[in-house]
Amino acid sequence: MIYDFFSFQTLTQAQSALRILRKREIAATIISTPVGMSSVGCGHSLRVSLKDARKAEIHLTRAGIPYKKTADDTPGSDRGW
Amino acid sequence: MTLPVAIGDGDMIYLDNAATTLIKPPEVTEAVKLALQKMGSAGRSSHRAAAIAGDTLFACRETAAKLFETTADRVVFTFNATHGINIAIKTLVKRGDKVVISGFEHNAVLRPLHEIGAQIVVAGRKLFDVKDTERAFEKAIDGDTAAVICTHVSNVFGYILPIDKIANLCAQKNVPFVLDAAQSAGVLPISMKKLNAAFIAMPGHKGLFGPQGTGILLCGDIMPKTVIEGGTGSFSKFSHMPMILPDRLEVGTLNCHGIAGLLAGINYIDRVGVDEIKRHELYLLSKLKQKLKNEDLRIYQSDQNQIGVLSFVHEKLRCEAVGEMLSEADFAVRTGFHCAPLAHESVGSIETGTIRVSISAMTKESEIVEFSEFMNDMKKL
Repeated sequence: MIYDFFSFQTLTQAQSALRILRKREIAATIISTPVGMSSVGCGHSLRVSLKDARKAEIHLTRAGIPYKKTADDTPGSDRGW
Repeated sequence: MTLPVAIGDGDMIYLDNAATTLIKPPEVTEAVKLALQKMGSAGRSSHRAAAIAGDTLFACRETAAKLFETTADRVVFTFNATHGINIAIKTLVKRGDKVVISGFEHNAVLRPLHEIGAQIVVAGRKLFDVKDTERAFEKAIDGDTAAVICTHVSNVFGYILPIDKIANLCAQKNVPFVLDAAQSAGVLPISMKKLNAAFIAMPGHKGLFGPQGTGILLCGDIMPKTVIEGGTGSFSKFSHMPMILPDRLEVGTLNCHGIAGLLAGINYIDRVGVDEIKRHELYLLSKLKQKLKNEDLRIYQSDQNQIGVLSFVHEKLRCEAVGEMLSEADFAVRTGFHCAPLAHESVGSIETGTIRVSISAMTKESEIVEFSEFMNDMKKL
């Protein structure tokens, strides 16, 4: 499975985002943001399958939760966590 | 080494709920026990134990946000109400600033203001006189006021202050309003939205039935100053604290075990309803006033604007002596100043202190009756 990542500033934001996606039956999991994907250090992300990523983006934008969408391009990763 | 078992455990009539609620809904104990067995550190890892802790924190934030009409990210976990009040005061007040407070504030408000060197203006010292309190605040608040800090319910006398009016005055004059909800959270309706407060601080271990070491600070639009700094599990490459809530104020490992209990306590309140709890407490308070017939007692009471707490003094016995007699008979009350000397100065009980009876949603009518009978018989002892 290939994923996209939505990074958030706080765990609370990630949890609010997860709640919104689950309500819309979009599968997502909270993970620690991979270090290579973050310029600010530790953080929290939602891992969403590529097929749902666009839908997730629409709902999160609509809810006004700030996020950064990232693909895992760190060395050694095949974007296939 | 085991915990000492309280004298009279199981038989004690506990009427010291303004200090902390001892009798909790059973699910609170269960939640803490389960948390101790299952929880890791929230927000620091992705494993299941950390996720359980993180989910519990978020559930507690959401439940509290619903109860107090705010959003989950504005719900900050603190150690107690004093911790939250300190954050509020240290955000809004600097040396020499004018701060308006009521005549019934706790040392949790007075001491940080004194430490900062604020110019304290006390407004409204007439017990149970809502109109006088409103007039005094109206007169005291002006464009130079840095903040207004007011308790919702006096921890000494149970006086319900007119906070809607005071919040309104603050809004009109564009002055930040801070509410100390130590005695009212879980007992009276509180709406962050309606009060438009800068901060509302409350303990988790009183009317919300959580364990000690828990508290909540509801934050408005002003970005708070930190009073302690450290790791938050976010923005870790930066040396400064995140400028985002709740992370800005929640440093180090949180009391997730306690917050699990707090969640169970708030869920209990949600299930029973604040209005029902208020009705129960008002009923018990009226019963207590009606039953206390000892003519040696000077009771601070009102038919209106009082909840949860009844203070009195014995004309012939020191408060501490009465407290000792009650304790020996397995009644738990508090005597003295209750960390609120200002309230005693306002009312004129600074020389004696008071004997304070405080009830909760868990208090039974039979306990009030038994306590009253003991007090009425005190003459014969």
